[in-house]
Amino acid sequence: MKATPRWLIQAYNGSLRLFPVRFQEEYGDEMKIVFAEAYREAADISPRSGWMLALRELRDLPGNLIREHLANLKKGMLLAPPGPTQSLPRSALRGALVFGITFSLFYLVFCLLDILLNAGKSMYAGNSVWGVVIYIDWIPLAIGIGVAWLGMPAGKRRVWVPGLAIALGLFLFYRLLAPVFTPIYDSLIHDESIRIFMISLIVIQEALVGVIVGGALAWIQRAGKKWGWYGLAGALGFNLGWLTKALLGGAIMFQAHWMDGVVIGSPWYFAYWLAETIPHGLVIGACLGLAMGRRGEKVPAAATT
Amino acid sequence: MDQTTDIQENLPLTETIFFLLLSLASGPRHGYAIFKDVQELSGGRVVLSTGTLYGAIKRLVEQGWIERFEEQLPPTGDPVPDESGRPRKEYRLTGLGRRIFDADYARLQSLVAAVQLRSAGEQA
Repeated sequence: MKATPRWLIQAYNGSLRLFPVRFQEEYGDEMKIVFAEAYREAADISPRSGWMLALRELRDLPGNLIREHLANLKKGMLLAPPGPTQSLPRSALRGALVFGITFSLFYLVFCLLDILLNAGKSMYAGNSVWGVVIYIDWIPLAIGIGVAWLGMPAGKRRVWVPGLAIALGLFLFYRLLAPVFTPIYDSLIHDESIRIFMISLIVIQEALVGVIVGGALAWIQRAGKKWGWYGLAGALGFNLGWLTKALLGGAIMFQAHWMDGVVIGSPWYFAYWLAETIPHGLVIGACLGLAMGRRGEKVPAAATT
Repeated sequence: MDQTTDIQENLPLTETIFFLLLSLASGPRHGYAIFKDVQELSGGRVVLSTGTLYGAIKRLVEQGWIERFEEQLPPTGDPVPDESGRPRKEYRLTGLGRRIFDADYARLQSLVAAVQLRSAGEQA
């Protein structure tokens, strides 16, 4: 029987270190033994069989890593059902993480796209992809995915359906409202005397979005009569989120001497969008998580097979 | 929600999970035995990587469909060491795992019966 090459064992052991620590501790030793035995047996049949086995491990590695890290993340966030005093902070933290991560991932995708198309230009040049997508496309998508993700503890296997519905609903919502709100914003933005009125329009718009998103979460969570809390949390979260990002984004812009000073791909560019997106997601998620915590968290259902 | 509903919600099983439970249906096995058995039972069609195998085992243990225990020598009850010197682990079906496997087996049988019924009707 042929021995497994040392370098292959070392490469395999190295790949195991990429798995979550808990998974490594629990199954790592067994996996090493199974791999070594399987390789020896395959290599005895033919060298090609041995290579095929190693390549199969390599092929499946990325998918397995993603699955285990996601399961680990989910478990970490849901582990130990919270007591009455811990329920609200824990659920708020979970919500903040979910929306914070989702928003920042979308931010990253569009940043990369923007850099590819417009690197070196000023944001003020007006041809940034953000001019097209911001508020219209990526936020609904991020919210849809966030809602689906946050709804998973309810144990609904098809929780992505309302998530997708939210994404599409908000996409249409922003699209439909854009022709109504944009001219009003444009006409008011240079008029100091009625800037307060403009802000109140934003408050109304964000509150509407928040009620839609909170309502969807309530439906996913089967919150029954408590849906009002979800709607309220959504309205509050979207307004606070908007306020937070406006203040932080404004502060960064001030430091960078406004849009002329922000070159696409520069540190100020990243700082600006980081300040605008991540706190936005964190605040919205925390508020929605608080509504979920009021109702008590559900134990996650059996993982999908 | 009654137990029947719980079981039905987990069906149909994926091919990997079905073969894994089938492998354990005849008795406890350790990881490598499951690895080989799944390959044989599927006629070489389902060949798992170790990451996929242990990812599935982990989920099944967490869900309570299978359980993990230390293999013991029959007369003494001493643990059987593996290559690293640690007690070798084996896996076996739990009552819940057996019921879920049986339910999926019955579902597959009913599908086959339906196909046979239709084929017989067409031939008549």
